[in-house]
Amino acid sequence: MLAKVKSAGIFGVEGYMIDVEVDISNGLPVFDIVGLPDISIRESKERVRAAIKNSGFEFPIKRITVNMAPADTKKEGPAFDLAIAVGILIATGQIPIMDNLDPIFLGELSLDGTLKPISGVLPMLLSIRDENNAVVLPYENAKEASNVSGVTVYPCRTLAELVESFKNGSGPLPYKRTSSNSAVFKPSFEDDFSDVKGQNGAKRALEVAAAGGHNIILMGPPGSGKTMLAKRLPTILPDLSYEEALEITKVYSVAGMLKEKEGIVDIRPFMSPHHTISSSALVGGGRIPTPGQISLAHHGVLFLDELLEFKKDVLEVLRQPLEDGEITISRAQGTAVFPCKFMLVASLNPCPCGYWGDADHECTCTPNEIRRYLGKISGPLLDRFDIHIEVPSLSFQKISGNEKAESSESIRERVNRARERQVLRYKEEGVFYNAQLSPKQIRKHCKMDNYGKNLMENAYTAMKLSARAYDRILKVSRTIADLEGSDNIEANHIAEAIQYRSLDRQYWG
Amino acid sequence: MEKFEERIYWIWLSQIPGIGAKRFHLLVKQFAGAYGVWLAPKGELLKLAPQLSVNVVNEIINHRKNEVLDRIFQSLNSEHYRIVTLLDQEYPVLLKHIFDPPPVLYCKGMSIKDINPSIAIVGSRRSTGYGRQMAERFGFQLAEAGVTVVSGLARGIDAMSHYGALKAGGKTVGVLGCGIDRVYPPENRKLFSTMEEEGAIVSEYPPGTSPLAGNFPARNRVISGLANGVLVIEAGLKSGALITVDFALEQGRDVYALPGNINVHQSAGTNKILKEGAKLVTDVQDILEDLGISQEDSGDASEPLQLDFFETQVYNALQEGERHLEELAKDTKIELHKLNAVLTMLEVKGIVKQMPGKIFIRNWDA
Repeated sequence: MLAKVKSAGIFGVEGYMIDVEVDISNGLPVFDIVGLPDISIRESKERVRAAIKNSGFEFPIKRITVNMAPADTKKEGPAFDLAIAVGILIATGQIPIMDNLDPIFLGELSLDGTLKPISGVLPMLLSIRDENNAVVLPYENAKEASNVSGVTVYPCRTLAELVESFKNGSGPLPYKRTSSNSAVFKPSFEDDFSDVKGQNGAKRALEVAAAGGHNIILMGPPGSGKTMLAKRLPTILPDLSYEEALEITKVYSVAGMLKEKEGIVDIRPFMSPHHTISSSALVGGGRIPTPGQISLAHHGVLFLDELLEFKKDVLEVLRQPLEDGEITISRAQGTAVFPCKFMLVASLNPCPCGYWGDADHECTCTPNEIRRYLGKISGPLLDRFDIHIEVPSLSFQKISGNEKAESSESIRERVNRARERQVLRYKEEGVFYNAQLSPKQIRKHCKMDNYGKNLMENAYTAMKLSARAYDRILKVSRTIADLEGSDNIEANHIAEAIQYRSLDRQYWG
Repeated sequence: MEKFEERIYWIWLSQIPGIGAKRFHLLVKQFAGAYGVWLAPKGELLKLAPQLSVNVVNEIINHRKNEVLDRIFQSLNSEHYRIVTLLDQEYPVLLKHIFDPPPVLYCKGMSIKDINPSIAIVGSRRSTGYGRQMAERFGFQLAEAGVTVVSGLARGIDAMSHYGALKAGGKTVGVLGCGIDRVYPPENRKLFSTMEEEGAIVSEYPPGTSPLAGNFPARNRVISGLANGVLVIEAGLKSGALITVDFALEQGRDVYALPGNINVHQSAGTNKILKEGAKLVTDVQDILEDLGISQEDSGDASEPLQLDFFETQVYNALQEGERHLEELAKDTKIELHKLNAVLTMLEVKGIVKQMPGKIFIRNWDA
């Protein structure tokens, strides 16, 4: 007897439908799976056999052939266990065929018949919801799946429970969300900018960076709080929209990093890979491509602590995705595209020993060492950073002041307003924030008055700024003007932006 | 004996390894001139032990070759440097009268005959931003008043004082601890070439000598020897600058020092010599009055600064010295984004300077 059930697979962040056909015929007892299954699917034979038996059903001692169509795509992962088991049970007549319901079956089986959660549910359903709008899946995946509108989710805990519901004719019960999907998430963070005492200069620079989506370098001696500041950057980034949250969740779902209780990632991610990371772990890779740190930082922050400790080739692979906002990974199996629009935050010491310019410690580096050290950042990479600031270490007296630090929420409000202005201004440009502006768009949107031009010229000669700084100062001035709610870039804005170009100054070494 | 020939033997003797200024003067006195040393029998030389070891005597004997003299002959015509011996007119008078003057000086740049009045500015190579700024400032102001600035062309304080003097278009002399054809430290290459053109570079070591650590203390006696006084900008307790001070006292030179922050160890040495009686300097006038130079009070010839309200506030806050950005914000109560803009304006106007670590300081030469 023949049975057909539906399932789905995933490649990169794109899902596709799979038909699982089960044929049971007389002959020597064999269990074959065809249709380019990989080792994890071939092993599912054993799980399916045990799960059916241990759920109180009969596993047929016959010739079983399972075909997974389309037969030319390689398939992997344990997500097809449930579809195969259900197929066998239908083919042997142990489940009645339900005419009104032909759902997608997803789930890994444990030997006792319990369903185990799988990864990649959200992107799978997002890609195939037009072809099929019902899905049976493990209970733990239900919340995640319910984020996809237009799909009815039937969660299940065990194989026996599923079969029972089919037998009594009712079918499994659809999942009901407890909370509705809000359009915008008001995130709650554990960290807050008010935790950081002092460092108002650095905070202001981070606010500007957040408002314009500018990549930023924090430079300062050990212990000055660079990591602490960077970690709190997501708390002042603009509120996350539902679409953005879904995009982040997609990546996390594929990576298997989604926690059950979340269902959806509702805060901007903060990724801080160690400097020993390989380039494929950073941008993504593997035989079956999986997302790397830059994709896990999508719509959030990628923090590279001790930038100069990273291997040179690892840093250079960052350049392309930084421009494109996505990373294409090609492997023999096919090509996967992962999104990676993130804000890059890097920290570094001002010199090899770390104390150059520090009031309380002596720097033991020679000017040559400092020059060589800072020279390790390649020009093209440095060009990706609009803002570089110094984060000095503050002695105890200076930071123990009683002044109340501003909370992340009130900073975020200003950032939100500045972002709204940008979205409005660029609605016909295909960009969303100032950091994305191309040189041509800079000419169009970042006009200075004569006073501003004058100041810029004088600043160049007085402060020996480098030529590549020009466009970047303009972009950052645009953001500062946006924060102030000003349509025009004024000299004041340019003057402030000039302070955020520490590495252009030639007093290093 | 012609003076010219004696000069050749003089140079010959000074270049023999193991012969420093002390042994040189001993030999010349003993044998009535350098030519006398060339002629002296080995037995006579050996009598000078223990001041002269057998090894050094052997070196002298081994160097009695005509090709050695030929080489020296050629070097006299070198286009890269001049050789000034103690016998020559150009030899600086002040240096001539120290205990063990270098018998031979290799020189580049301007004549070193008339460099007085002169002040040596010394300090540590690892200096603070304050120290470097003060070195530049005093270098500038002394040179502007017509005083020659002598220093050691090393990193830090030395380099900055030369820069200051060059900026003022004044006279400055750099004394090396290596051969005149070497550039050490290498990052000062540009400074070296400017010094050759607009100042002078001097070394007592023959061309090709490496910058050995042992050469530098001896070099310091030349620095103080060339000058009427020594100004110490910043010095740790074990700094070479304090060695220069010892030489200066030996040579009867005046010692000046800048007071420093008692918490910063780069100032420990200067504060120590101040306790011991060095003259405390807070203004270039403190040195100039000792040299008998009265600077005509130029008044405030420069036009008054055009500063707005915020700029004035920030500028005034910098009155007491360097301030960190955060401190400025606290002192002036100006919001940070505004403060950043104001600081850029002040920087562009050239009256405030930014140092590494977001530290701001008044620019003295504005």
